[in-house]
Amino acid sequence: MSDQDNETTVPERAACREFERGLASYLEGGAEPSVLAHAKQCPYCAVILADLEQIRFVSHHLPQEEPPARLWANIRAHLEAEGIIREPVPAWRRWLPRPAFFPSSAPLGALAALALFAATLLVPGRSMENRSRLNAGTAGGGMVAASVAPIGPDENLTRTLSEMEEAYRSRESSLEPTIKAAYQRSLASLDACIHECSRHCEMEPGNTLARQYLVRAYQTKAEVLASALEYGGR
Amino acid sequence: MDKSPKILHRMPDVRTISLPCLLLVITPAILLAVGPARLEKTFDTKPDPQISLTNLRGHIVIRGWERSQVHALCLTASPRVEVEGSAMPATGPAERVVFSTRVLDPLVRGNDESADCNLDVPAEASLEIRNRQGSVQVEHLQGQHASIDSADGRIVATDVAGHLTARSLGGDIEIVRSSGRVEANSITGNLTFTEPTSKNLRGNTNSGHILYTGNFESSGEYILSTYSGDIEVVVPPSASFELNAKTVKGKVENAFKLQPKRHAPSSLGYGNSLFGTHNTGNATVDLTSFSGHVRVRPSH
Amino acid sequence: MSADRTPANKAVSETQLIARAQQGDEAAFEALFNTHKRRVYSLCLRMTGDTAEAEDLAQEAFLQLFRKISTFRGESAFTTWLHRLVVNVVLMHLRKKGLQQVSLDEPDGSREEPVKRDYGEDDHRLLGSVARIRLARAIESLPHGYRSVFILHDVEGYEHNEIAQIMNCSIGNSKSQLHKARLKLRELLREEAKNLAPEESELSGLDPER
Repeated sequence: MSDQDNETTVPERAACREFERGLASYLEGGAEPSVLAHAKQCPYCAVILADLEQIRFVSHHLPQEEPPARLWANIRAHLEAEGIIREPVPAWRRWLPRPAFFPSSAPLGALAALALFAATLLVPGRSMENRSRLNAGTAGGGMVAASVAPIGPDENLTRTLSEMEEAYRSRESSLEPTIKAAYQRSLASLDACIHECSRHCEMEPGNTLARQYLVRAYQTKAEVLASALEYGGR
Repeated sequence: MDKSPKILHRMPDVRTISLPCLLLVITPAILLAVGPARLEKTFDTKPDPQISLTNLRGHIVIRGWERSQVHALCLTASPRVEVEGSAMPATGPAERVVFSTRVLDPLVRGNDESADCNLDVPAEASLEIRNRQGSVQVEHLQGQHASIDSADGRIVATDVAGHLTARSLGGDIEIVRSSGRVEANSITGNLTFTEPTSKNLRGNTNSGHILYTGNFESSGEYILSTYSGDIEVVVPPSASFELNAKTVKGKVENAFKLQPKRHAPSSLGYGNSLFGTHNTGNATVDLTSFSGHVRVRPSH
Repeated sequence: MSADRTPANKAVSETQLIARAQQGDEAAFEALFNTHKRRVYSLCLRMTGDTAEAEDLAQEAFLQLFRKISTFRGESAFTTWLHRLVVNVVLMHLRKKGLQQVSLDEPDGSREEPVKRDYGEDDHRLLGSVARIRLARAIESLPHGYRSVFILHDVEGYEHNEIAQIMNCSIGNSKSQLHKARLKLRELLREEAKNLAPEESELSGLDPER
């Protein structure tokens, strides 16, 4: 090897040629004991194998790119023009915050919950005029829909939230202890609020403040569960 | 300066272990043997750059400076954790610089995941910071927007002039001398606003307390809400505001002379509320706690 | 970070969302879009190497998806259906541009080039901890024929039989292209590493403090 330059082509060693012939199959999981055996003997082939292993390993973990925000707006415009969207989201619903707590993207369940939740903010039978007024009232981002909020959530919301909660409980043990504790404290705090405000709403149907807190606690709970579910084990 | 995206991860002593016999083992395992890593990198930036950082655990400090550069200095607890830094575009001054912590080995857990980062960024930069666990401290920024999220970390933002959004599930949030729009949200953490000159400020926590000290800007809007915590507002006697304070189970205590003044339960039909104007009532102040107390008093 | 997403719960939610999207519910469309946008866009971007093209193709793929969603009956997994659709949209686009997808070389046709090796250097490692961003960039430099197979297999996780079906080539051809792509990537990364300062290349791209 002493006559080799810094870079050269493969040395004409039979074992190296054999290694190369088995390499592709080995990387695909094929049983090629000679590949590994040779790599242990030959540092140059070991480098090739290590490189290709790295490339394969890292390729599975490439970062995903975020598309430009206008992409959804463009798609939505097409869907609307083509009549595919038949139940547009009312403008007021867009003001509801997206799942706010880290991380930003919510799983499907959470989005479903938020959408369902938003739908339950209105008492059935309320007119669109009321919805418009609601828009004006919540555009600033304060408490949501207090004046027209139902006393409690409807069945859809309760079911979706309990599905999310069940999903959260099933993976709670995989969360890191400190993160798990933070979620537990948050959920306990929100549950206390939901419990007490529900009671107040039943006892004092005119208690708009209790309704405001109740609505917001449900909304925040959906966000918190969404972010917990998104975490997974890490 | 080379602006191409790079992994900002330095691994001391790696030469000593890069023996051919180890080459069969994939990188994370190779790195098992070495200690913490330090990394440092500088990016040139265009005016008003966007800086984002996503970190799992650790302490983040971000300071605005006068240079058109982002300077990052990060310490990772384990060499199996890396901080990637990339600039966009890849050549020339960057419009956007993105830092992201990644754990290379799924076995890395707990404190080994942590990366402490200090970033010096152009003062006019916009920020997007996500730190799952650990504190975030932001200082001297005048960019359009600063957004800070944490699951369980304390957030301190000082002298931020743009639209500031701070969210933490369980961490306290402290905003000092903000001058742009502020939105601070926590669930169990406390919120502290000190000497803001913001005209639009919203703070919301479920079970934390809220403390506001400073003054209100003319025509400003201040909305503070907690479910079970107390709210305390301390402003100078010269403050000019219209107060709307409500609580269902707590008390409203006010040491200002308000005109006109109505005390609950007559106004709400439940709980306690207070509505009134101090001086010319230039700012609107809305304070709500469900079961905590609301106190408004003059500073001395 | 996203490895575990409780498939059972996800499936329930996704089924609900699909059902609502089939009724024309905008919120459901948006939720489906948000769930899949990053993977769809990233795939388009890697296959084309161009952000504008990737955006157009991602838009086209989602539009096709939503136009056809009323026909989705759940026989196959929704994600599989979507990604197959995206791949088809992208490949169709590349074909229209006249870019060869798979080399017509037969797998074991001509004698392949020997693998390049470096000798006489202190450190033989390619990149330290391989920089994903450098790898992503190198993938963009791959010839189109190799690139598609590599992305579908090593990045997206398709099996060779699926790739053969999608790309209308033989399984052997897919395997051969993949191996060539990996070797080519190695070459590209090696060349790049050589152009960096020696210490930098070892330290996975860190600009060393001096």
